[in-house]
Amino acid sequence: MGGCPATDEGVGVIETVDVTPWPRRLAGTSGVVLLVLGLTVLVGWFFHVAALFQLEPQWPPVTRNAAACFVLSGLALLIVTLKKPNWLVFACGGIVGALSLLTIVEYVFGVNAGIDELLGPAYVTVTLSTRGRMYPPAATCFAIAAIALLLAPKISSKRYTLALALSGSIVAAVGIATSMSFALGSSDAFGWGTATRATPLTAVGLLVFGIGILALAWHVEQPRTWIPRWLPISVTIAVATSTVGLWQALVADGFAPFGRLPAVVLGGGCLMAPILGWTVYLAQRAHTQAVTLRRNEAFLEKVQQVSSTGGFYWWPAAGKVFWSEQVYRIFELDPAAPLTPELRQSRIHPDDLPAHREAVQQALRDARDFEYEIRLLMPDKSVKYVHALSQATRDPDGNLLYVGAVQDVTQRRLSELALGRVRSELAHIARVTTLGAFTASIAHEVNQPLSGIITNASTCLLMLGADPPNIEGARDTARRTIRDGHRASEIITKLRALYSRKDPTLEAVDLNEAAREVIALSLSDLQRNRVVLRTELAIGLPPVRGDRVQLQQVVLNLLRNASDAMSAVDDRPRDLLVRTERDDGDGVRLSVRDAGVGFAPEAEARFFGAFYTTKPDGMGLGLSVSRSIVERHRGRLWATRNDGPGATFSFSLPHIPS
Amino acid sequence: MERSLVSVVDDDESVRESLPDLLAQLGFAVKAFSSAEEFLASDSVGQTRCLIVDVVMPGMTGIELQRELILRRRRIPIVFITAHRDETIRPHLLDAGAAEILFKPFSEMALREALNAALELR
Repeated sequence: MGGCPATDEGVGVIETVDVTPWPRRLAGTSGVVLLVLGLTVLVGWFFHVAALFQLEPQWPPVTRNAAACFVLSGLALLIVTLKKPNWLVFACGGIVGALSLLTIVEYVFGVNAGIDELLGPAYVTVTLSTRGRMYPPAATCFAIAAIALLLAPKISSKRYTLALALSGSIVAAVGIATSMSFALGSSDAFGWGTATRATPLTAVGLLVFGIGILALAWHVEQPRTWIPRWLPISVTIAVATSTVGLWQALVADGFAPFGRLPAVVLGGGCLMAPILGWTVYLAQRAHTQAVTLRRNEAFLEKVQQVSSTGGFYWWPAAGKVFWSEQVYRIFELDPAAPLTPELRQSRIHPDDLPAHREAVQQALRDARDFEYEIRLLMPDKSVKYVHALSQATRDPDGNLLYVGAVQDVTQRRLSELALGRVRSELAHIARVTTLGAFTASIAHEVNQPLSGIITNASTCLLMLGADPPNIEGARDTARRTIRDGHRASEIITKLRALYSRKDPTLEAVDLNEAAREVIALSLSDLQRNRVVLRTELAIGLPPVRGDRVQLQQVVLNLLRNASDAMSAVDDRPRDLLVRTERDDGDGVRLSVRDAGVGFAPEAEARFFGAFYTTKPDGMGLGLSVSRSIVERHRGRLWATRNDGPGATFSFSLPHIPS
Repeated sequence: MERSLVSVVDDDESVRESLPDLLAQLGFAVKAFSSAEEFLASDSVGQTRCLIVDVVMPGMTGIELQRELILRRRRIPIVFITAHRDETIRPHLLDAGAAEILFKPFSEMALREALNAALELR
């Protein structure tokens, strides 16, 4: 399972877990130790070497059945870790289970099933209540472990590991408890009255067995974190059982320099066990959370890199800023260096500094979400376009806090610029070609009658100059000259109708919506000119009847004019306000207020005439065309001078009666 | 002396009205046709000493008429007239044997020079 970890979480790419080899090795080693232990004991019984199954003459012997159980359990453990063959595991586990369960039945119901001396006579019976019968806790342990081992080949899922780990914990704990009582010199521990007593070999064997099962559980689980989930329970069981073992030993030995010591040990231990388990659980949870956190961080970092977007916090009041690593990368600054305002500003393009300062001031003042675009100037003189957007929130102390993102949009902006250049070139070419075709067709149409006029006039002169003068003929040709002159004039009239008189398509137009569309289209232009646009669009504005595209043309013209009027302004923000409102009476009004150079009072009369322009590259048709469009919509267009710098151009149109 | 016949082919009526009068004043015999097809069908083809023809006309154009006459081995000098002031067509037409190209409106003097050049060509 280490091969394809965490596929269910979708971010497996970031982190892979290797298979840890030691739990499997430990389980296998335990199996071998148990095998050797059991065989040694059996050899001792068969060849009458008491030292092999008894160690000391006063201690109880390891029964033949217990030894057989050790052999079979060890074998099963070894086979499970080697993953084959399953039938052998079932066989070994089955025999161990049957032996141990029958022994338990014998103890509980006081019967003799005749299995105690199945493998031969128990000729050494020190402290054995019944000849050859297994020590009861050992029987219980074997029974539990046998069930776990029988399940092992069947289920290799994580759910199963809990059962495996619990049985391992119990077996190991019994091993610890009995080993401890021997270590304290009390062979009577866990004697259970008249029943068979434990032997040091069984105690050690159970400990090894328990450890082997735990290792197997660990191996099956392959914990993604450093410890398996069930470890807290195992720790609790181990501590509690050890305490019971200690208490047993103290009680059995009559260890009584202090009469209440055993009770104190038992109480303290039982209290300590859950506390320790809980501590392990907390450590485990903290570790899991830390791992999750690290993974999320790595994920976020990667996403930021891929999208060229960095995150930031900004506490404007304290002037404090936190940047994610990606923002440092965009600004090409060292994350280790202290981030001073000077350092940040040093990267901003000098041309954009005023706009940036204005945005900062506004953010400080208004505590509103903001979004703007500025250019950065890198030390190598390359220019980056970054798009910043931010949301105003409050930190836990109630201070204004902006949470935002900075995206490097250089590539996109550069291609847009290139596209814009191509587009404007194309528009220019289209205009020139249209104009060329237009003038050619005018020339052709007008040249025809002109040709007639000149020819007739020439004929007329010749007739008058003849001797005698042909007065009648001259009169005819003069008449034809006049007729051709009229014809030329008619052609001009027709051409005007063809090229300029397009009837507007009338529909209900929401002026706000029309203005919003135009603003959306002009936004990048305005931003490029560092114009700070504000809109105050009246809610519930009644619609007007008109040609949407023509009206949008007017709005576009006014925006362009305003933007152009501010192109030379550097000592104040280039504020532009687009406002819609209900006019007095039955009209709606749209006004565009700039902070530009304004105009002299006497200039107003000339504004709207064709070919009036203050721009070197302008045709001067914008305002004239705009006014004629508005007037065709039965509205009016006018200009006023602001109290402060700049001018306001407004138009008002009658709205559709509701 | 018999007056040389100059044929005028133009779809524009004002030209057909005014130009023959002027040509008559200049001492030519004149016939006017509203299309190239009409001219080709008439018996003037054989008598015409000079042809004044509009470049662009509905139906057969002036250029096609020039080609048709070459095919019929009628070597009539042609003066093209046109309201499209497009200098690029001049060398093309001159190469094909045109005597002159006049852009409308043209003066009496220019017309007289073009006709003289055309008649000398013969």
